Amino acid sequence: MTFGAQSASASGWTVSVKPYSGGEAGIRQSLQEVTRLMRLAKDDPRIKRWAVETLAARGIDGRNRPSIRQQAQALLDAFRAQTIYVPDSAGAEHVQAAHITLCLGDQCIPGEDCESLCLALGGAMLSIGLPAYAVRVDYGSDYQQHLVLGLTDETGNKFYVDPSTNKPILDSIPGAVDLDWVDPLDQAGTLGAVGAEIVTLGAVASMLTRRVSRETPRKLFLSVGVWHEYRHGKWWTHSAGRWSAGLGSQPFARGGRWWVSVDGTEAELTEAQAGSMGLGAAPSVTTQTPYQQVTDNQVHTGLRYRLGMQLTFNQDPSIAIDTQALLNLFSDTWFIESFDAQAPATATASGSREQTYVLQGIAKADQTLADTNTSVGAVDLTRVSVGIKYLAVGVQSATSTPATTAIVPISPSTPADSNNVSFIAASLAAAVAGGIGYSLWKRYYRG
Amino acid sequence: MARQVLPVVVLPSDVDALKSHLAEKLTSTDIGVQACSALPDATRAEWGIFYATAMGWTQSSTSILAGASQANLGEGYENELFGWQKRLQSAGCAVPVSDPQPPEAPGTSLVKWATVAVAAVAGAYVVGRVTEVAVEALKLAPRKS
Repeated sequence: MTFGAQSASASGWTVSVKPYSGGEAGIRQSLQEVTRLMRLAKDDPRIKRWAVETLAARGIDGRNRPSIRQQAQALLDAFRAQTIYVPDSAGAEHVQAAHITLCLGDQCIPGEDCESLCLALGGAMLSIGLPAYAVRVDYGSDYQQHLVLGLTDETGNKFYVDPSTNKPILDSIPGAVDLDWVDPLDQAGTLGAVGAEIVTLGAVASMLTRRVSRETPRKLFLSVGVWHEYRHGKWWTHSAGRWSAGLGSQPFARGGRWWVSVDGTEAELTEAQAGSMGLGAAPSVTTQTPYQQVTDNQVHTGLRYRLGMQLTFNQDPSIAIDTQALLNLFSDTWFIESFDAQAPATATASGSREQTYVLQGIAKADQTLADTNTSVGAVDLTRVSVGIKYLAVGVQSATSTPATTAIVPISPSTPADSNNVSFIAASLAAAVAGGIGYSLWKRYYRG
Repeated sequence: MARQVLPVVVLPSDVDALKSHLAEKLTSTDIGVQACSALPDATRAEWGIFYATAMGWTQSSTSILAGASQANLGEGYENELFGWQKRLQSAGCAVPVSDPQPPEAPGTSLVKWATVAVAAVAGAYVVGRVTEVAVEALKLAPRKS
């Protein structure tokens, strides 16, 4: 007599039981399994059929150019309607395939925890081309981590879908300390390799399978709309309908892997490719130059800083102020890389509102940061007073008191042999010259 | 885009592609700089100024009229970045070093010049006709005696 996973195997379920590491290693192990199953789900015809039929039932036809958010919302609504959230069984990290959660085969368990729910919905999104990522949400060391789906809409804005809760689609995750976006396409797919692959349904599949089995899987990279491939010891670029050999840079290491830059596009080398170039294991570069706390609030041009600051408003900033107006307070002296509110604004006893922000950016001028009061334009064209109090200043440097004498050049040297000409200007000039010539010609010959 | 006998016709989309490539290379180089703890602060600050300025340019809007000057500026940044990458690599930082002059696809320039020629012929016809009509109108206009 068998019990547990053995019993399930005996009943025809495919069950894999592995030792589960605790802590960060265990989280990585779960995340890897989730994204692997998510990637496999996207090529499952049953999953794609579910996604297509769900969109069709909600009147979404790809021909009317539905937005990514519209499609994500439709799939999320349908998914919530047919699944529930339940925690893992005691003492186990349970991850199940998408078709089981969606009950699209003989086996059906329409309830799971965040990992399985995310991989099922994420696999369905990927199957119809929505750019879904698995996003690990870290709420700090005292709280359990969570998994949601992250997508990027047509305008480049990120948003989050949480199938484990009833929350609406979110533009940010309140309370999150760190968000780790993991691309399912970076996981090994059906061919045992990362990257794009061709999935064919129908009779041609057997031919394709034979062809693929004879050849080494191709290593293709799509970047900025251009395909690149490393093959026969060279880098090739697909342009104007044909492949041509390109020039590759010296390999460089990043994140424990080898990369090259091919015709301006970066591509990651496989171990075999790196080996064929005589490269060993790539040095792991996982650490950043740390941020040192600055005590004198002195800021030096060209260095990267993180500024923790408390802003005090005389009105509710979430209603009265556009974020761009706040950014304008700092954009003259900072190249701003990020400017994030750490929590919603809170009311004070005096009736004002306080909100904590972190600005990361590169200083465009030497300056001494001092608390100050100013004002910004509100959306209703009035002025909102803003008090700025610097709580903490960090500089990315080997020392907390960096001594720099950075020279500010900066207008790049124009190439001496430049012969670029603007298309519009060339066309206009040629048209005007040609028109005048045409008129003169007609007057000369026709009187 | 440069280094050819025939002037290179620059479309706004060429400038956008140049910005995209440049931003990608700036980002990957900056990752290497951030990981390079041994880099002296003075060098890091000089890189920071260049990075902020060049990245600011890649994020700016592209003018449809000033394509050539923007392409010149972008190529200047690419050349300067190439110099920076070699300098940073020699300082022991793990950064990519990439050719600042990616080859233009064969025939692309000729196609663009052909497009300019078509636009010029069409424009010449319009300008010529307008000029003719204007001249005729001047002839027919009543003169003061």
